Amino acid sequence: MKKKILAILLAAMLALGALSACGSPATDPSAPPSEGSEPEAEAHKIGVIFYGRDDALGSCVYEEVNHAAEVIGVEVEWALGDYDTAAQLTSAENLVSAGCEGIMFMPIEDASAQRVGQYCEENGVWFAICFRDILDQDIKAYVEGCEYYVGSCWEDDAGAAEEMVAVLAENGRTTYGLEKLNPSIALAVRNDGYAAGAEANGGEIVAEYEVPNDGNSQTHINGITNFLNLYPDMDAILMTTASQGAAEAIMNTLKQNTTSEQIQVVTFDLYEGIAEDFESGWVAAAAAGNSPDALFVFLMLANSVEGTPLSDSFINLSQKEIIVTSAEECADFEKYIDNPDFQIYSDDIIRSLNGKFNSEVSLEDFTELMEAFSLDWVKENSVQ
Amino acid sequence: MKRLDKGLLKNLAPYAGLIAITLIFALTTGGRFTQARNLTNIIGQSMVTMIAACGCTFVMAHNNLDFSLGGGCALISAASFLVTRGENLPLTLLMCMVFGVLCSLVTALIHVKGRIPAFMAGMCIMFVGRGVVEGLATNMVMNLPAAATAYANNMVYLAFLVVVFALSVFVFNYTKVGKAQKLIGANPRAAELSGIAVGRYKAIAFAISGLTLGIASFLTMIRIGSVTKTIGSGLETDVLIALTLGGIPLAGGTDTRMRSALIGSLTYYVLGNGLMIWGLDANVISIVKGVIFLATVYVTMERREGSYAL
Repeated sequence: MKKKILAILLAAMLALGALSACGSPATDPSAPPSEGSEPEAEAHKIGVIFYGRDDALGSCVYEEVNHAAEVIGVEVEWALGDYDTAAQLTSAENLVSAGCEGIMFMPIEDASAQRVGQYCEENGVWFAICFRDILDQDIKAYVEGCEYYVGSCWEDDAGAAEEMVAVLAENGRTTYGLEKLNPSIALAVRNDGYAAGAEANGGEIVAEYEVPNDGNSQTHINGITNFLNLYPDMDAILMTTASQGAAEAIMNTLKQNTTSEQIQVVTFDLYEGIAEDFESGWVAAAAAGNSPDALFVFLMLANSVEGTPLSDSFINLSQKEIIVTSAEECADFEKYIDNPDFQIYSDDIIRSLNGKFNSEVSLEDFTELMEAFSLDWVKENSVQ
Repeated sequence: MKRLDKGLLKNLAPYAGLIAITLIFALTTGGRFTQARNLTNIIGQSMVTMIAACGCTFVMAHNNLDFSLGGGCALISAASFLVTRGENLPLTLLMCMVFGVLCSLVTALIHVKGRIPAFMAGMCIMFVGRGVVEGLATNMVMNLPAAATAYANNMVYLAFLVVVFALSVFVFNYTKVGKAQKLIGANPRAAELSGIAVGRYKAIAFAISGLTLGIASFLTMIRIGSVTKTIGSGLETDVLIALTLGGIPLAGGTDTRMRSALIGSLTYYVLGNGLMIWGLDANVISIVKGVIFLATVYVTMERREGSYAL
């Protein structure tokens, strides 16, 4: 028995020791500087709290931020996989303990923005928010009043939704079913955008079902089946999210029960096989391409951490989304934007947005680049 | 002598585990793990789990699991908020304790009177609680006054922990309530035949678990400053893993020790903190935690002669 216990303890310790070597280079505290790197004073460190890096958006954000950090000589420490406020606050505490001077995070809910922000404020740590606006006005006012709040960035989801409904209307489709997001989450502005788009284009949302919190595919299947059975005049589905298997469940249900002549889909986010669905007419438009959001927030935050803030006050940036409307655009999108191995912005551009390399960097430099963001711009400026 | 050694090793294993991982992280993180602020954070983060685990130990001692903790925390927090709007913190705390006891008594009632396994009854509460709070959070904002979060500091948490742990140790080791739990866990039939009202004592254990859950819910509320639809997420698994890492016998009984709540919770949060400082992915962290959890169960689990897995 003694031997067994010792063997298990030893195995666990060895496993821990071995796994420690698997840590990301960007986060290894003891890693020596790479050859050829500029001799610098101790690099500033920024913590990033993000939901994960396993899906398309997460993997792009992870690579873009790590790459930018390397280019501008900042250290990054990641906290991945937190899905509630308490967990995000715990990660913020751990990151600050680990020496991070700035925290970038995507708040899982408004309360998280407040508590993480409050913690950073109390500890004199800069913080910035990516991919989310704050819905609760009291919390928003609190966060915007924080001295260490650098700013945020979010997408014009409502505008993208309206634009996609316009594409459907051009195709003669005006009777819609809505895959609705829970109104309490920030992304629910997509519901509103679809509603506004329907109204503006003489269409009507005749039915809806709510996206399940746990991503249960059966909820999507039941919702779509009900649409098809109860609303024979319905000619399009407005999808607010394709993630967590929603797109696969919805598209498979549609393909098994109807035709693309009867129903077309518009969606946020791309999914596996969407190019084929564009070709066969199932999909009319898809909004995606928001990963630079985190890159710009990270660079904005780095400037504040390094003592060259872009503004004396907080900054709200807006990230454009790309509306993909064909299989060809889809292929380009997957090659140039939805590709963690491809850097959208060159090292020179990244450096030009950092006060250490460009003492004249300004907020306008950021907004101009963000305004110019499009599939064509990325293709034209591709250097890889 | 051999039996004594076995028991001693089993008792020492949780301490050895905690010391081992602490040393590993202290030696491999370039001093970041041992920074005072980091150690303070770990202790602060673990105290809510410790408090919930103290009550849960009573339930595990009589060989049951309370799976209602996460959903219960959500339900308790929301119900308390609806009564007090979070404006009167002592009253909110009181309401949390009252709703905590009520919530757990429902679990106990379903289990004892309905003869339904406690973990299934707990899961019912978990789902109901989560559903109710998600519905509420969709339709209303449940923010506590900004001043409430000022109380979310380690000294306040420590004061609660000291009181809860001291009372738990006393009740568990020196009163009939605690002794009955261990006897029921060791042999429920024998306990019944010796005149112990098994159902009643089980209900008392759940009530105590509910009381500590109420306190943990209150502390969670002031920590996050709001009642959100994710409040208390994963609390049941956090507590179960913490108690297991602390060496609690999974079948309950006389070897159950209240210290498991403290040692295990600390081990759990040290692990999470150290692995994050190492920079491991969330997925790898989960795998490492799983391996260590399994190893702990293997070492501490009591196996009876001739028993086999079903």
